[in-house]
Amino acid sequence: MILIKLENVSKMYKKRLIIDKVNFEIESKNSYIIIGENGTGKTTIIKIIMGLVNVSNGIVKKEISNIGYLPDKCFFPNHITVSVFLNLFHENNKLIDNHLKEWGLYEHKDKKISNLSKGMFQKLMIINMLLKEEDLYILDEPLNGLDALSQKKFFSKIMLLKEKEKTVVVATHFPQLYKKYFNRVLKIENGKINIYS
Amino acid sequence: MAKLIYILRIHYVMLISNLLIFVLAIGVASCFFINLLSYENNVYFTNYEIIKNYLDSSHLFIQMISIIVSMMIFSNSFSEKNDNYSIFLIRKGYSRSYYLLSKIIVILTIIFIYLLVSFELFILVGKAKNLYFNFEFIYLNIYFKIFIISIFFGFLCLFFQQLIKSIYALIISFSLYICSLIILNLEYNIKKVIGLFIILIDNYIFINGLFHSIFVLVCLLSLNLYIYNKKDL
Repeated sequence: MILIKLENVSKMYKKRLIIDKVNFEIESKNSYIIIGENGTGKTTIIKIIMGLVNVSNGIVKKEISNIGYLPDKCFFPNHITVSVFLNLFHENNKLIDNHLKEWGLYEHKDKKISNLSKGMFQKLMIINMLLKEEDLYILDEPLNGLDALSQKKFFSKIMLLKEKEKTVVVATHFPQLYKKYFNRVLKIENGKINIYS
Repeated sequence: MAKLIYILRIHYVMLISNLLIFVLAIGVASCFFINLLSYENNVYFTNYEIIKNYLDSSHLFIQMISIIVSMMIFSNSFSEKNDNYSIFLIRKGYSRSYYLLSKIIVILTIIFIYLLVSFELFILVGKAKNLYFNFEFIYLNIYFKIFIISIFFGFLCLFFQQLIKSIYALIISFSLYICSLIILNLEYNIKKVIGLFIILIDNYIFINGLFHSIFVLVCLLSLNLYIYNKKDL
């Protein structure tokens, strides 16, 4: 089943063509990694899929409305704490606490998000993504700031998602780390996407 | 309805910060002192003149402070830091328009409550200083107009905030407000023409009427919606 389909999608930023007539599909139960050098448009492709960036040309067809998303960067108002944020977007308090304990953030739950370290912030984003079960997960540089132990935990979660036959898309600079979890590679070069299996 | 309440709750929690409470508290305190200072108990004035003088003196300052408060709330609420949580709502399937309109509802509610408190202070100070001062519908009407013009400059600030993505949006909008005050001193016909594009209040009445003012607000809101839908988050 096709979850997302991009047809002739182009994106221009200030007269610079970042994405050039790209066509590809995200099929259910598959795992994709998006690779490419800095500034080639990995995050732009992800944001196009998420509907956060409008395309200059082309069509994005979505068969799915709720998507688990881990952004590469995001900001929060200064007064928002870890627990306030998670409680706003998720209802199950017990599940929230379990995840916070699992990722070592429970003792930081009353801390303001703006005061979290990069690694802790990334863990919070992973928790937020995992708290609600979706059919499709899109992750932008998920290992940013994570220590070795947390990276191991992250991959165990990816494995779990794969076992549940979820579709996962990850943009990364380290494809070798994901080799055994992903079956398709989307390589962005000069605004075009090449797909390898 | 549950969907709307859910998103309104999120906006409310995200917007109500210590900074916002501080801004509102400063606004209310300023209104209180302006009301106190505006009341002049001149023995040569009739009671009607004393009350009219109280209304005239306090009106402009309260309008100015309300507009500044409105612009600050709009500017702060749509800064990159305070608006980035939209991505979590959009990923949940909420449309950008739904997000923006619901956020504006929360902001307008805050401005409304702020003006309601200011109005109460106006009445309280009037009553405390003058035994014959009574609540009259015209006062409520004047504060309603302040509410409308505050929304207008708030929307204008949001428009510039979206265009230039900087705190300077507030300065540009405030400069336009000062210009609008200067325009009020021009000839009636000129005021009427310029008043087609902005909301002008002269002697407590809208230059081009209430319906025109609401039309201008709807146009500005639509423009903001259009930009919000087209911009990259």
